[in-house]
Amino acid sequence: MAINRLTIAWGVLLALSVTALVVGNAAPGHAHEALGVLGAAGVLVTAFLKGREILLHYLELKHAGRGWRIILLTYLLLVAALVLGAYSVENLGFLDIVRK
Amino acid sequence: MTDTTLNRMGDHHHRTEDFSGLPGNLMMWILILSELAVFGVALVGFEIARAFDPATFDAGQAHLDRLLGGLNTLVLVTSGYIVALGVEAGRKGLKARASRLFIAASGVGSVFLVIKMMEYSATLSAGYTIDSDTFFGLYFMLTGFHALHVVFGIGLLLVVSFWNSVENLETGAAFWHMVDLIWVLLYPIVYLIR
Repeated sequence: MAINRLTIAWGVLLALSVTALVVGNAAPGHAHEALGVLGAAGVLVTAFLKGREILLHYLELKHAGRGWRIILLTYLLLVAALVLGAYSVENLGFLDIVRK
Repeated sequence: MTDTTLNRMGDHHHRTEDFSGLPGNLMMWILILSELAVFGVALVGFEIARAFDPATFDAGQAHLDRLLGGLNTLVLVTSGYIVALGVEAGRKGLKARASRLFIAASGVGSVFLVIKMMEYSATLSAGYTIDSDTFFGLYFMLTGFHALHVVFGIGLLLVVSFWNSVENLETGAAFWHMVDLIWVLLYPIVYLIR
């Protein structure tokens, strides 16, 4: 018997949540510049993948029109990208000029 | 399986190129899209505020319990899974099973609120309030506004477990998955990224 796709999504969400916690705990934080950005990027990738799983399988966008999938997955990507952008700009020291 | 269910499933195969085929009531989706827009802007705003004052945000974040927050993620995605199974049962005409699953999901959802209360009481008793600094202001605002949606979502799940037409089940589930989706973005941004 094939495993229900909803159950697979649940398993994926649990695994990604634990991964995010491990990566988030291991990441050295903003004092460590490039490594900090890598940690933040890792956490945001798990967030994007979790959001995608919820959108496609729980909110059933896999069955909806393609337009909805494009809009909502772009939204997820945009939030993650802007957050990583803001984090990186500060972390890599670009804002030091503004602060001084 | 009812005719509507068959039509609904049949329609799915013809709806791949346009803006149709969303589960539940369209009004709910208008709400979902506006909620996602508001939380999206707020979360990006949080990270921009952090960029201008990283020391305050680091100090604040150090007081948050990342494990409790992570536990709450597991709670919400599990509740979302149960609701999704409920919708599936409803579509098969298994109304009693659908209602039971929705009630179970609202029970699991309320665990989220219990953990959130534990987190708030620890934070408040450590002397941090919404007025403490920018970090705690945004933390209480974002998590509080989200928790309010959890409260409303639990109520909605219970309401549609009683009036359990397929459309009602889908509409309640859609709201609940949106609450889940927002937490999946909020938790890493507010708790994890340092």
